[in-house]
Amino acid sequence: MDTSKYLDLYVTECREHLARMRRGIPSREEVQKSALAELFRNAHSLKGMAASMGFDATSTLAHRMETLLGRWRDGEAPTAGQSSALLAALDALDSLVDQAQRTGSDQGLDEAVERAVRGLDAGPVAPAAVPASPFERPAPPSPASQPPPVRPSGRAAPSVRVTVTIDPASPLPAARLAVVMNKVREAFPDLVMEPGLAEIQAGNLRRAAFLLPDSPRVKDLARSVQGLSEVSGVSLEREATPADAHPDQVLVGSLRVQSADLDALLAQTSDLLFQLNAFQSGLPERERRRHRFWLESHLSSLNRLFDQVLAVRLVPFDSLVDRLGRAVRELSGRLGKPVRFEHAGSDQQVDRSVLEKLLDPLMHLARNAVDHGIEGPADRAAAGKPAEGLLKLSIAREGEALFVTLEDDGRGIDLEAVRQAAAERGLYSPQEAALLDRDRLLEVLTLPAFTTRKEVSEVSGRGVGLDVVRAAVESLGGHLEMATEAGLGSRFSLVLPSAVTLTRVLVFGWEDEVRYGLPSSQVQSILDLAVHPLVRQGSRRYLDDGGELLPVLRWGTGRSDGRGYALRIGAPQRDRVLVVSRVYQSERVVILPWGPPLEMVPEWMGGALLSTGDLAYILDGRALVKRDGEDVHVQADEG
Amino acid sequence: MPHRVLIVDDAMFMRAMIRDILVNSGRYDVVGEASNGQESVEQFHALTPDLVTMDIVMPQMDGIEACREILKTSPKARIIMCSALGQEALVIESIAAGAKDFIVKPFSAEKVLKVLDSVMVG
Repeated sequence: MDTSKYLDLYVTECREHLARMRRGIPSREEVQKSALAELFRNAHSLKGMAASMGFDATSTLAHRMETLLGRWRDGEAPTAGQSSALLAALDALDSLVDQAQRTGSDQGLDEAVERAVRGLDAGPVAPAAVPASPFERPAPPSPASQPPPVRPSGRAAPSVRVTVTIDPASPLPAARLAVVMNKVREAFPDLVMEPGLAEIQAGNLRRAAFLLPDSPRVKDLARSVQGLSEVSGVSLEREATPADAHPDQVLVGSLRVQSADLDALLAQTSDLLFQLNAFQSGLPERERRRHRFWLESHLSSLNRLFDQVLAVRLVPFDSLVDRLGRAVRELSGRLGKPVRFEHAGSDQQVDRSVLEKLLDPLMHLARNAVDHGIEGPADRAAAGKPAEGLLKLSIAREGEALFVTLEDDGRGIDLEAVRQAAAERGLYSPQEAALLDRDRLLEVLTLPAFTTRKEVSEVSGRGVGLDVVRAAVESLGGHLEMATEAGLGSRFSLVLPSAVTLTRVLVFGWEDEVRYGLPSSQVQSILDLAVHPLVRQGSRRYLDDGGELLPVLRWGTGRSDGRGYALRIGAPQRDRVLVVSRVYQSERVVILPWGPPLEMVPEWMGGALLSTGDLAYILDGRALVKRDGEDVHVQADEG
Repeated sequence: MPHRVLIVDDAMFMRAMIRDILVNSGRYDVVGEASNGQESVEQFHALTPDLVTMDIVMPQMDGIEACREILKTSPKARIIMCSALGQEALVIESIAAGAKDFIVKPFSAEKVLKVLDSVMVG
């Protein structure tokens, strides 16, 4: 059978399982039985998928893992070393999956696989009576044994399909299904529910089916579900398990969707919202009141749809962090340089497409850091540093930007060597090179003409290819920030813009109903005009903030009847204030860029949909300040 | 013996309505009321009711958080969320957090009692 067309799916799903396992293992001491069951299931799924693809090495290793996890789940205590053996096995599985992705086969890693298998087997051997896998459970079970527990999979056990229908009159059918699912989970705690609650809500389902193992508990469950409010029907149907069925899964599975389809979905959803908003604001007041209920319910449904579309596109950094950690461990092991990898903020979420584009540059930076940045143990000892190097990844949102920062405590970049090399390469004349400042020297490092030369890695203490990193970040509309200190280390920040990420904005307005927003990061404070009066000096109005005179931005209606608020906006020379009538709320939104021609007005950052269903025009404080003109600096003589 | 209920809602009107429905049924006894999440947590510990009706949107501590707080120390607590239309996501979040069931405003006595009864039985 030609399995190559499943390869992508195989690789994606394997990575998901591996990432989930990696998160489950380290805190093993406190792992609940259900968590062990999940780890076991992951290994089991991996084994099954690899076997279906004909990847024997992968399937063998996954099988050994499954065996060990099965023993733990059944009550055997883990021994020291086993959990790190498990982590090592995960690393090996990662490599196998990578290999499969690259070459279409998982061969050629025999040594790594063998090592991992040996590690797993080092623990105590399971008593023969406990079968390693449900597949191998000897039949029939001895009469004295307990009824078999819920198994993630088991070809032997027949199963019952339980179909639950929600009353069509139910006002919140998805929430009702959530209650049903809780009941099912109470009865069968090991069950993996797919789809999860979020998908159920998104799908607006009124019916769900569960495949449960045939046991007396199913009938009790059916009775208690039937007793719930708004459940109009529960039907039980016994069915022979097809060879490959997973009885623990709901029939409605999850789907894989192309990112481009999600883009289109997002665009169409926001179109709908814009249109409905426009329609609503164009209605005469009387009509609007008359159709209020209709308008509000549509807006609220559309908003929910919009949120869901966005949420579907967001992914946490976890998988990327896992990959980086593995690369660092692998390289530090190979080079004999102990490196500790720390990370923070991996729960930050970002649009999936962004995450994919960040992987390569970060891998590159991490490898460079371990390879060239961090010194060997001897050099570190000589420099008075701890033997173990430190590589730290942090992901943080600052205002409207997302900072992905990788820093090491290595030797730093020798900027003088860069200066010399720049001159030698003919990028600059010796005179010019002598005048290059720090920032410029760092930038030289990212020039293609400079960094593609291999020998630079020795002189700069940095590997080749920073140009590629820079290009990748810039392709996302962001920029690369670098800092280095000889002997202390280097720091690289990938600074990404707000597009497709959530931004906190402060929502405000003037006398009319129109809502405006400013990224909260640009608003330094909100000043009440009743406390901070406006003063006039020449042609300009100022706000007195504790003796500091702040020019009032000439933007908006800015009436000065002494009421309202002033938003203090940071500026390079002197902060400005924007006088507004009302301040509503602050919330996280997605700023959607305006299409042409509005996008050519720099003060308009874009539009955003607020949780209230209103559309807000988002302004860029920096552009407002810039537009306000230099005349303020000229007459900056508040004296 | 009637089941002992704690009613949590920031609107006195809603509390009164729920109280009447419950008390008139003869099957429930209202042992306490709270007007925000923080208060509900304190009341819950003081009164240990059999059942709590919990409004979602409230000042100080919302119903979902209160629900989590209560379940943290009393995982068996029976909490029923009170929701308005259009709060489905919040209801689902509460259910995921461990609330047993929910009722939707505007309340009808029949529906409210059916939900409460099923939770007391289940």
